[in-house]
Amino acid sequence: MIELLIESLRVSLDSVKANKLRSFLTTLGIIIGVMTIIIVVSIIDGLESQVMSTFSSLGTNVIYVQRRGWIMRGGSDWRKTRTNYVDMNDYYKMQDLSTTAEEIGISISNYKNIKYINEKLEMINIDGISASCMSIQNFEVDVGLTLSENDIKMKKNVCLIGKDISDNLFFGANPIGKWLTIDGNKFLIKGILTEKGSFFGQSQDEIVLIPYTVMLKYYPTEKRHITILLSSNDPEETIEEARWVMRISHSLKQGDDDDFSINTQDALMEQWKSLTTSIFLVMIAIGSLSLMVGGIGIMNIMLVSVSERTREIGIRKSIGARNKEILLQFLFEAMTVSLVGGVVGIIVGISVAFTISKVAHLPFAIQIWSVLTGFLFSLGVGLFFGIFPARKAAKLDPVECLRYE
Amino acid sequence: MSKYIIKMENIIREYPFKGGVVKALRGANFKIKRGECISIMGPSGSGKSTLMNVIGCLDRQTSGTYILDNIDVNTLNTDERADIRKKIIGFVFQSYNLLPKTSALRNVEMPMIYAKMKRKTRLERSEELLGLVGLSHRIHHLPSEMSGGERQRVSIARSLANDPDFILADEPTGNLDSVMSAEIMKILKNLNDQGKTIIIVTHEAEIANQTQRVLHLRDGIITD
Ligand SMILES: Nc1ncnc2c1ncn2[C@@H]1O[C@H](COP(=O)(O)OP(=O)(O)OP(=O)(O)O)[C@@H](O)[C@H]1O
Ligand SMILES: [Mg+2]
Repeated sequence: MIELLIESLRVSLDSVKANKLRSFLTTLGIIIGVMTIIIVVSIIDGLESQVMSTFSSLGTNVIYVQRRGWIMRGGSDWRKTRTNYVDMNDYYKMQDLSTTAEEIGISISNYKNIKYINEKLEMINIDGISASCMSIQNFEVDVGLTLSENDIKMKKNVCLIGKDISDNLFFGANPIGKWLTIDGNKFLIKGILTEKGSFFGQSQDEIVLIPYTVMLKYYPTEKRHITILLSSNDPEETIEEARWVMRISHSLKQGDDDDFSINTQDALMEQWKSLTTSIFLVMIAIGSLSLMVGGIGIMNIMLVSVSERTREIGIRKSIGARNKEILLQFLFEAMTVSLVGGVVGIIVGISVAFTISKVAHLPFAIQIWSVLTGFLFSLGVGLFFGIFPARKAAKLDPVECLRYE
Repeated sequence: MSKYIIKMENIIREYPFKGGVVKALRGANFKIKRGECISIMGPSGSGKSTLMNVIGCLDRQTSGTYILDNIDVNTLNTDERADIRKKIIGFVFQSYNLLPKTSALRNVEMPMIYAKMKRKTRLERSEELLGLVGLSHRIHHLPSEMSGGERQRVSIARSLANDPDFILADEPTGNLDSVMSAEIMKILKNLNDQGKTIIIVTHEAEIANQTQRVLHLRDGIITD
């Protein structure tokens, strides 16, 4: 049995070597199939760990009350859903009525050009925030002072800058105590924020924080575009409560749809997961399809091989090979071809996944199970699609075979 | 052990052909003793190859009894017949039937692989057998790198691999010139001297005359 396996392996490797191009074309489907599986699993894995770590850097268990939702609810077009502004009144109402929120904050986002002396940066994210946002959103001051309640109340022109702003405007000089010009208005730099890294390829350190009161002073219309932030130990409770408060504040009647959105990272995370799951499934389907095609290719080439080697089959039978031994020989051959394709697919897949992860700055990881799956799948395909030609070979009549020219 | 290695009684082999049948063998009745060197002679189309396939357990007769070494071959299943070809019969074909792209050594080794012999024994025996047919210097050559006579000698070495009871040679010299033919016949006669039963199928009287006994096959009928 072992001898026969070795013998079959030799015969099949010989025929693979003798028909290099043919074997390559035959195994292309297997190569692509296995490659796809390896790449997809690796990339999604890398994204997953990246996303998980950035999600937690945003501050966990934060509830965002906004006009628009982050995710589309199944079926309903957000353009058709009636929405209304979330404004300062809603914020005050929330402060009055909420009992379950740990902290309540307000954040008003804007994009403006900034400059220091002659250095300029365009369209920088300026967030007008309440002091509570510092802890809700996990902002930490690396050097200098934070925004105080007093800064907010007194509408002081002060700001905190992110690491990227500090690097790109001051080039290593100390920015603290300098005056930053935001859209023509001067702000005193009080502190530099601790680095947060990037989120979906977008740097979170290209940011300037100012008191929300100052934001409203210069851009009064922004009072209709605020985000109310709530932190809570019992998010579900707080979400329900926030909804109740917002419905009161917007004077919605029973039966009216919500005209605001309550966003959480959990929901976003779920959306992300279902997205990756569907990408995953699509790619697995593509992978399986190419494996199928590869398998049919192998079956085809094995049928050709059987008819090319009819005489050889007759010779082997005449010297005493049993039908089962002929069957195994051709089966092993199909599996060898398929496995060679699988191994090439694994190697190419790992290299491509590695390259992509380097280019996209993702953590690189190869799951053992995905390699194993590729391995087993290619073996299985060889077995499944090799069995028919192998049985055909085994059943051939020795006399016919020996007469075959 | 029976005195006769082969007993044929009323062997008939018909091929279905265009709605009717072709009677390739109409009645074979003969016995072959152990240690004999005999030839089966007949003109082209007389059924020689058909008979040889039946004797070699490659084919089944349509009717009649074939007793090989006290076994009624017709009662055996496919695997058992394969085992008989492996252990009891050594084939030598007119067109050599060596595995292409496979060295002389591996060709001779092949029947021993199916007989599940150990690798070391196999290699030793293959070399020894190739030596016996005078091909010690050609063991790593491929069939395509050898002359017809050399190929036929490899196939004789292969037929001996599992030490068979008899050698069945179908026109072993059919593709060879007279010098080579004489060479092959010498080897076969030597084997007979050492006790092997030899059955040669041929249409050449010159070859048939070199054996101890000649059976004549005409229109599918043969008797001794
Ligand atoms: N598979 C087959 N189907 C139909 N007829 C066959 C088949 N094989 C052989 N025959 C016929 O049986 C007869 C005997 O054939 P066989 O091959 O045994 O002759 P032979 O004596 O070996 O001839 P040669 O010396 O030319 O090799 C021939 O008439 C042949 O046409
Ligand atoms: Mg013939």
